[in-house]
Amino acid sequence: MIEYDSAARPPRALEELRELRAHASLLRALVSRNIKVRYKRSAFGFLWTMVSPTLMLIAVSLAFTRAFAASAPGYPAYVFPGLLLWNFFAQTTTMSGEEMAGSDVWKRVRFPKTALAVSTLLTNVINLTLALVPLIIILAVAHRPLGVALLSLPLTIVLTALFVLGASLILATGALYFADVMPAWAMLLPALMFTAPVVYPASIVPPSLKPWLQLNPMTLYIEAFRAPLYTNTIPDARSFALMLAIALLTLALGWLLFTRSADDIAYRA
Amino acid sequence: MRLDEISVRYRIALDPHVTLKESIVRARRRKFVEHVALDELTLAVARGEMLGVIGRNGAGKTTLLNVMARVLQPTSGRLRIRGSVSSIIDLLSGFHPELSGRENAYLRGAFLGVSRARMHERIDAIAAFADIGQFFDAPLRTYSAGMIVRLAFAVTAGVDADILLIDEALGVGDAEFQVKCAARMAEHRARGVTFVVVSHDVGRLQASCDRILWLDHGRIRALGDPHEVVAQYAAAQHA
Repeated sequence: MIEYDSAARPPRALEELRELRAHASLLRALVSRNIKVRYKRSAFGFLWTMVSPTLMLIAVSLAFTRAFAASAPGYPAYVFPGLLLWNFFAQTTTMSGEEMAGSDVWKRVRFPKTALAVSTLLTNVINLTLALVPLIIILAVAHRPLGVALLSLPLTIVLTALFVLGASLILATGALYFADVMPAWAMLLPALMFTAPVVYPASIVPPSLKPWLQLNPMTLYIEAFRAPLYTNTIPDARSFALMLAIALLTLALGWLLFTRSADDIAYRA
Repeated sequence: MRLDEISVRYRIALDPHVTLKESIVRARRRKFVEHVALDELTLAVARGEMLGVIGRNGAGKTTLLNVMARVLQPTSGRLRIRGSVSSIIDLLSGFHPELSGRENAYLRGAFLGVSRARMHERIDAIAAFADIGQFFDAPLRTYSAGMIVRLAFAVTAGVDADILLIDEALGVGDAEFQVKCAARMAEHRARGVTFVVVSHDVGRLQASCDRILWLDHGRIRALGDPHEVVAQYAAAQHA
């Protein structure tokens, strides 16, 4: 028999975690909804995930392939992994923020609200993983160096996902209180992309400015994601430790902020 | 289920501003009125009981259900619940227009905390109860309003909860479907499910409830025997 006593509630952050664990079916149902809704009436299926980065790839390749011929040989192969991961970050944070701030289901039914962010994240992790398959095939056909370094990708994706979840929760908390957070984020994202070495190689950045690139945490994740795909190398242990630390810190901050304000949401109709 | 001195107070901004700039610029000049939706309400609902809640619009009926469903955290007071709670929620929440009735049933079941395995067992019964034929596998956007109602109730009726919260202001399908819902409620009652029902149909509540709660401005105006409370309520309406 389930017992509930409002005078004996565990801390919100912990309560949310327990409820989320008890709602595994909800996560599954939401992920399956996200995937079905996205591809319901489309012949291309998950290939849609590839469309936006492919168009971007064509555009920047035309513009920069010659300019970066020395610093990033095989420029399209350099830029595509970065675009994929950046899109993963941009789409997940945007979708989570919009769904969590726009949803009214939680004014009717009790369920762990973080399920919306987690299910959006899982959906996009699946899309990212599926998008890797054609990418790797294309790289192989183009005779790019590929090897066992690819085995580091799952770990990089998991660490990136934890960071992105934290970022999504921080953004969603802001979006719950202020209606202009999501539009501002949509405007900020394209500019933010240029603060990480997505379309340009980090080596062209003057040494005096280089530390600033690290201010965008996505720099770290993008470089780790690109290394096995572009140069067939594995990021060093220090990179992984740093990625883990940043991911956990961001996630802890996002989780605490969001769960702390979650009770307040119903009062802000 | 016990509620001890439960209060819900809203602060309503007289000049609602929701953008960041406005909050910063006008933070000091903000004016609030406090609205007390529930005022130190103390109430115990026994296991297997059917409690009807009546009152005028704005009396706090829906707020009370939201507190019981734990969707709304009370401003003060203590809430104790033994058993699982499920509520018949408004019609479209958690439904997606592009998904079929079957897929939406699974989704709403998940929102209500029903495991996927349990939904597998129930899905045929839900389809039979909704009785919308082949539309069950068509996208929800092709449904009529009545069919959406049927689907929503079919899913909720198939959920096992110890306590069911029903807001009848929502309205329920045609007469035939209402009879089916009433029969299903009787089955649940026989199993010892506790009901809290908010309705404007005072006559029906009087006939089916064990006790009736009359809410007025967030306080208990009367609580007890259905006939007595309804008589008092009717007298006040005509006064």
